[in-house]
Amino acid sequence: MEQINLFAQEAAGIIQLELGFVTLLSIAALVAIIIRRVRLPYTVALVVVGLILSFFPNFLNFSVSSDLILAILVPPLLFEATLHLKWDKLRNDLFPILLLAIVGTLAGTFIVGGIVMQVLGIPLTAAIAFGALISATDPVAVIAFFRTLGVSKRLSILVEGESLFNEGVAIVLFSLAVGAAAGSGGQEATLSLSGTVVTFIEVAFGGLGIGLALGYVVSYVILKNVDDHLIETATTVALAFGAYVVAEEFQLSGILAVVAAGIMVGNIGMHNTSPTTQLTLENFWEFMAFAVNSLVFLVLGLEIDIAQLLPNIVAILVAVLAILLSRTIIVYALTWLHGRLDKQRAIPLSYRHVMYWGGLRGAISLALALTLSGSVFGLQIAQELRVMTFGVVLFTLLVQGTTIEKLIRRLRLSEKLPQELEQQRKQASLYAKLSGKKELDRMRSEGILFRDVSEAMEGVYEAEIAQHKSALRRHLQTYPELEREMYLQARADVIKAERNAISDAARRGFISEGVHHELIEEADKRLAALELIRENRRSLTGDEETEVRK
Amino acid sequence: MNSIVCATRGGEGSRAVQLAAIDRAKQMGKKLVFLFVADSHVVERVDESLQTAVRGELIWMGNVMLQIAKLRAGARHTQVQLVVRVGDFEEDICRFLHESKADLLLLGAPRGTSATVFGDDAIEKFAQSIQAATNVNVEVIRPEAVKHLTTAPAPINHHD
Repeated sequence: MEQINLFAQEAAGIIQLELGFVTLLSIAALVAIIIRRVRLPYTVALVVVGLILSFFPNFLNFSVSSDLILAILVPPLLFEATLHLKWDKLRNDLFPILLLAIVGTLAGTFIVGGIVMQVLGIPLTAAIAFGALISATDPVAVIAFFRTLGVSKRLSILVEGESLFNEGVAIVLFSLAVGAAAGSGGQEATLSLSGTVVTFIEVAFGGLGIGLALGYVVSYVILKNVDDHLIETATTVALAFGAYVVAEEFQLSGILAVVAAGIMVGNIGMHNTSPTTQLTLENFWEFMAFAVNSLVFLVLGLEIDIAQLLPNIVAILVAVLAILLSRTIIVYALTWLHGRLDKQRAIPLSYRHVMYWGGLRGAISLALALTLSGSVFGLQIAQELRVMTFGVVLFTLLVQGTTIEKLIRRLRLSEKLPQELEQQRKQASLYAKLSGKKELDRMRSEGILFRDVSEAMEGVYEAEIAQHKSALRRHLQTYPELEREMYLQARADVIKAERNAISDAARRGFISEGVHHELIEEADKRLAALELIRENRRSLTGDEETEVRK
Repeated sequence: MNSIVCATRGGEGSRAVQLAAIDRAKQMGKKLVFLFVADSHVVERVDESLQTAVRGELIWMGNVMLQIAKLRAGARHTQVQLVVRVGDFEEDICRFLHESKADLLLLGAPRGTSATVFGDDAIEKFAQSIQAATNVNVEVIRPEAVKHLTTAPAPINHHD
């Protein structure tokens, strides 16, 4: 009887958890729909909704642990982000990225730690732990904007690359600080610099090694030899979580293991597999990132206790000023140093401004703050650090996250080439005129307009349409590459329509599974071929041109 | 009857050379061939499993581009032959001129910013190089030289 009760309780708990996830996902979908009409980053909107929901304490009956964020939510996010990080582009800027991620995070940890220790009187190890956890930047909100605004790939890679690596570095530093505090047995702990560096190297490179090894196995053994998109996708899921778990099991950096595994699959595994699997992987991981991101930022809003923020406003302000100051020093000093060492690849000043203001804090900082326990730092200090973290995360998301778009626009980093804008203008004008004429035809056929009026209007419309066509034609004569791009896009669209028709035929039972698979694979190969032709054209015409221009 | 070959990349950028070629074929009463050579280096650079698809798509693109040229010729009541090749641009043009026993090659000099579009010097050198290799007359047609042909295009309903 007792056992039955236990099962019933367990089942109710699972249902409760499931209900919580379903509710969160539904809210996220709703926010995503609403946000289309509001110019606010999706992630920021989710945090705001989470904050509103946090006023209803019984709204969701499950608590968020740091393990849930770090072990369940963060690995798929990092894996998806690294899948798109192209090694050839990353390699070009690897030096400044690692400089910012390693030296910058170390410096940021000690600058922020030093300030909060001096001003707020927080003990050394607790201050260092806070400095480390708050140094991890989270680019999700910024990257989403980069994509919609069309800023250069280089800037995206600099921001994303720094963030992916500094998260790993911050976690290692944080663990070291917590370990030092725990080892001191309540006494004022000391951190040995040489010991810290050695442990840091072991943990960071060990994590990277595990990620690379597992990524290698999946890329060369599974993705290369198994031709089944479902099995291959499932393997990448196992890899994303497995790399984290295995590395953590060996007390190495799970985050860096996931980053390394993702880079390996994105750059090698994806090329070793069929176009069908590539498409499946891209679609699956795109959905996964959307779902997990939604959960992370909603949970972030839910976890922030607004009532706690006001009594700690001074501490929060100090923390905000400390992170802004440290970010200024890190970004401007390190990029200046990099510019001195590598003049050819010096990072433009406008990029540095975006890197500075785009250094938002998010899920990792919050997850680490949730691990702060009273037994290590004392209840009061742990609580204070947690509230400071919430305050900083909220500030960066609500203030920096909502103003970064303006900064990008003001710095003119989102501008397309003038000829592209002109093409858009001309095409839109032509499209508008054609729609106007279609409406005119409808009004005439329905007898709403007199024949002579409609004919007269049609005459004027036709002349205008001819004028717009001729203007567009002249423009394409001057910029033939724009026309080729139009062709490639149109061709990709019709192949996608063919692909849908094949799937439809399979669903209706017109064709067997084998034929369906064969034809889908062929369509996917053609889509991949078009992408390669397009990439080849870009490499010939120089995508980097936009950067040089700036 | 020998032929006129117009090596073209198609599209609006090649309108001038295509119209000039149609005009010349009518004047001289010669057969007109539109030749599209897709760059085979793109094929060589990709993974083996995708080479057939890339090659197929390049040919598809060539056919589309040449269909536009054919429509332009049709609107001017001129019959044309369309040829798509995948290979090295210069080598394949020379080979085709030899095979088709052509006596005139027309090349366009579209204005543009893409690296695949020849600059002024490069197109002249390219023309000289082909002429030297094949003994076939090569002419470079500049858009401004055939403005009278391009300013009032005949209506082509399908692609306009």
